[in-house]
Amino acid sequence: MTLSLINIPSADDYSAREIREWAPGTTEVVVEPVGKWFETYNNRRAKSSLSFASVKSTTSEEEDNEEDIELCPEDDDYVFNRDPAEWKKQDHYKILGLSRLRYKATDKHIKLAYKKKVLQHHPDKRKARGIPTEKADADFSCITKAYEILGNPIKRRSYDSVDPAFDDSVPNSKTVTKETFYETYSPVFERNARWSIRKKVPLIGDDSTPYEDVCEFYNFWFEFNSWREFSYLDEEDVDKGENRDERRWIEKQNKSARKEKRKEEMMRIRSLVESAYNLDPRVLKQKEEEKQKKLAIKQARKEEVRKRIEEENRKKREEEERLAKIKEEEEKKVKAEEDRLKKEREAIRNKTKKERKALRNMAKNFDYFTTEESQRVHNMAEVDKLAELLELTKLQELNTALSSKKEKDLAAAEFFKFSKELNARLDEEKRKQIEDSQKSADYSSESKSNRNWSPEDCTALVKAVNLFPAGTNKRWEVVAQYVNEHGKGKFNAKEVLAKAKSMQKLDPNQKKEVNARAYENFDKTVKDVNSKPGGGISQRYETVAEQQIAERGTNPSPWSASEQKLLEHALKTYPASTPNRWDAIASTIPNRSKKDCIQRCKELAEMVRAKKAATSKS
Amino acid sequence: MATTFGVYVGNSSACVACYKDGKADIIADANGDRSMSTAVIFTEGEQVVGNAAKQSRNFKNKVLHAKKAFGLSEADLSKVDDEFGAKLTYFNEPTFKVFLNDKEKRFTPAQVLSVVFKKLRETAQSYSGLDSAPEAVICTPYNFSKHERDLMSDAAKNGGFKVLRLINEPSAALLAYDLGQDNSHESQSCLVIRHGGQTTTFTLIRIRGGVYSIIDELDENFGSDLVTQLLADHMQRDFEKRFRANIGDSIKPRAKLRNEAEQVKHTLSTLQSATCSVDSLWDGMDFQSSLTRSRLEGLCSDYVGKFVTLLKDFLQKNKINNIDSVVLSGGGCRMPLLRNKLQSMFENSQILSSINVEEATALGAAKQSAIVICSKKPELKEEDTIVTCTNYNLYVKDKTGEKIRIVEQLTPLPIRRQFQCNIDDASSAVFSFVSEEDGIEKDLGDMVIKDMEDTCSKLTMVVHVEMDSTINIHLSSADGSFAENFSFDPRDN
Repeated sequence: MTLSLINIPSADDYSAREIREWAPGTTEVVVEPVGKWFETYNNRRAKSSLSFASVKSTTSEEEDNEEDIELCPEDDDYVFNRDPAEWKKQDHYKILGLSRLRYKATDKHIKLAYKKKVLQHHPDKRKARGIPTEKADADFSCITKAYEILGNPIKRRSYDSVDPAFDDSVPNSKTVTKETFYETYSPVFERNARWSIRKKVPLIGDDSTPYEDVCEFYNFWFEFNSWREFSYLDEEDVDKGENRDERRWIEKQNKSARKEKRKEEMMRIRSLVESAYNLDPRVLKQKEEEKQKKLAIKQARKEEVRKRIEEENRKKREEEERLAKIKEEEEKKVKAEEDRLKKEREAIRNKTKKERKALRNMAKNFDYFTTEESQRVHNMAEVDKLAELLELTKLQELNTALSSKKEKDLAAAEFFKFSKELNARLDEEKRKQIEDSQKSADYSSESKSNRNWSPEDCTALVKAVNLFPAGTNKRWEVVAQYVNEHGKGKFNAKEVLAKAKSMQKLDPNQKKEVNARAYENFDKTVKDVNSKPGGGISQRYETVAEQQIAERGTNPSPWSASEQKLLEHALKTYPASTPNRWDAIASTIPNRSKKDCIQRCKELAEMVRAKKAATSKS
Repeated sequence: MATTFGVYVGNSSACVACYKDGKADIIADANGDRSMSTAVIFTEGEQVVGNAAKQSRNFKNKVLHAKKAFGLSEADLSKVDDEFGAKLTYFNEPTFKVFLNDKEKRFTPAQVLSVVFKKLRETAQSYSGLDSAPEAVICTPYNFSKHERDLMSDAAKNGGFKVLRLINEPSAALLAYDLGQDNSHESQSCLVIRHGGQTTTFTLIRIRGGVYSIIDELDENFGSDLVTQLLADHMQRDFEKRFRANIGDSIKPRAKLRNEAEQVKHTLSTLQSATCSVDSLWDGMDFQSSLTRSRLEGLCSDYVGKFVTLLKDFLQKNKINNIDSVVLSGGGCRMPLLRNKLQSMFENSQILSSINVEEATALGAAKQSAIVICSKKPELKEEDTIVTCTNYNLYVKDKTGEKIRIVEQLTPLPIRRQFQCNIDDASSAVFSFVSEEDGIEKDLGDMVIKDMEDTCSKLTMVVHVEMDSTINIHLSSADGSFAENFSFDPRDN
């Protein structure tokens, strides 16, 4: 990398100036996390924070190194006169003088203790100190063995697991009372906490511990995960095995033994936790509270239901009352309305009566507006008619008109005007009535009349009816259209319907005639009639036949050869003695009803008889 | 070292690059395509991705430009709507409606992108022979929000990638050219021009001490698909005139024309003329024609004009008149007319386009992936991207009175700079310092050295700016006979 070159001026030209105070500032910038320089920068930042921590840790290490441990003096004699072959039975911690620390001893403690013990008990050292030592070698090997076990984390763990100093006991739940619960169980749990794989073990706490913590405590202990294992107690040493099979066998034995012990251990913890849980005053209290709460909730719910029902009943009652009231009011109103109407009617009637009487009197006074006898009779009738038929207002009008006129002639004129008016109205009404009646008569006669149904129309109608079975959308309009297209006349749906109905009512002869004519027509137009009458019947036609059977009970189409065959066969299979013989026969032949079959049979019998007679004659 | 990957998924195209044996390279997929289309077709039981999907005429089920739909509000949906693709609707978030078995199905843009990522992952795996999820750095646009970035990251994870880091697309493009990576003294201002099919972005990036920071960005809904459309429209007019046909709005022939127009556009970027032929375009009639580049340039002069205006406005807004490097990316930058225009606009800057414009971003991401995988601290927190920088320029005056910059503004701390100083007189020297903050210059005074040994005609000046912004200036002669320290300390005040 080439450095930038700066030519610096010499100081000769300058009088020296002091550098002014200036504080360089910083600012924060958001940068892109890309590129190697960013990474370098970021690493540097991370390192600077790391280095601080590492400095701390190194200092603590140094402290450890300087630390000295005090070995238990009471362990001093333990090492003497031990049999190194019995190493499994020796207390390794005691050998190293760590019986106070035991499992709490760190690796460093062990190392230091070992060093000290070695310095103390090495055969050469002992000799140098002039202590008579017969078994110095044995003692030393005991120390070595102890370090071998405790210095190796795995071996140490297996030794710790079966530490003879550990109290496996579980307090007897029967002797524990509420008061002694914490003091009894607290040390037991603390003791057993050392087996936990999880380092942070919750404590049992006391009465003031929140219930969540209590729950957590029991959850932890119910799912207690122990590192305790019992390989140290293996009966036999795997390495003792002479061959592979034996070694495997030993391994298996050991394994099962360990498993058994581990199970026992788990049971022990379990029973401890269970007994504690069952006795824990906090848990009992909580349970009681919950029970109370549940009960309270239940009670409350019951109460609520009761209240709700009451409320509903009350509402119902109120509603009923309200409805009854409304009904009553309505009835009252209706009654009042009726009364009012009645009164009005009464009033009108009375008024009318009065007016009528007035009219009659007036007419009488005016001597019925005439002098001639015959005219008088006529006029009297007119007066009556007017009195009876005029409405109240008109009557009043007439009366006022008559009463205002003093002279007889004028009154007469008025009277005649009104009577004329009335007569004209009556005439008009009569005419209308007649017209209406005529109209209806016309209509009925028209609908009754066949108008002009030509035979072609009829055949077209029959065809159409068969073609569009019941259920067709807008059947009769479609039929009418068909008839209009194929026949001569023009008909609407109503007419067609009427005709069809009337035709249904017609005697079968006429129907046959129509059919025959249709067939002839068909014959005329279509030269090549199907040579195979059986197979020639189209699906469509069959459905029509079915339709006809359904509608009329018979199928008017001629019997085909195949049908004939079927009939003969059926007659043979169902002898005369068969119950419902004709039903059975009809069911074997498609598109033929019972009635058809009977008829055909009769026809056939007739033909046979005729033939026989003919042959006998000849 | 493990193979790592960089992935770029854009609105129209996607690309994956790998970093292996100290080299970044684009991976071609099974068809030999180095970049693929992001079009996805959802059909019964399968999903077609890439160029095959783009060509298809299954318009109802074709999802185009899914990335653009990210984080769109309901009102902006029309920005993405493409008549040749599935309908985009709003359903809590933007979703594409497709029809499977005549049943409507909805896909979010993230779901669509995860299909694209899946395809890229397959390409990456088949190239590297990896069975596990490929570790990749994913590019996202600068204007993506945190939520959109998370969506993108999830889409990549669903697609089968292990996401090492998300980086911004413009930064990745710069990294592809190793800008500022050679030495940490370099400082530059760069402009990244991305001109894709759908959008155009201009990004101003400052490089200080090898670290990038984005100053400003303009994202415009303006892409080179418009050129394709112009070309297609021209071809349609041509056809209609010749055959007296009326294609009108019929979608199929127009889609055919558009595909062909795209081909022609690509050809005209390299050649002077191109032929286009579409079989059975309309009513059984074939269309054959040839187009020259000048014709195309005539068609899209307005378009280029708009592009240039946008760019000029952007530069004016940021009051930038000196840009050191211009990096081109995105398929639209292939256009020769556009390149010429840019060349004339940035006469004094170096224009970097040696890397295939569509691939630059992915390549940069691949390079970044190698950096991340080697990093001791690959996990990145948000506060890690906030860096303490100087807020001043520090100059020293040279013989002619000219100011030589020794510390530059906005350089991340700590800084170490080394200078060689010539001293004519060889016995005395004056270092006069000047600081500049927000354009205000401040004479800081002189530092005078006298009575030096004669041998020191050259001094080495080392400038350290510590994290707490203390400036230590250390002067020494090569033989060690002279050494002097001086510092500016913020604690003095």
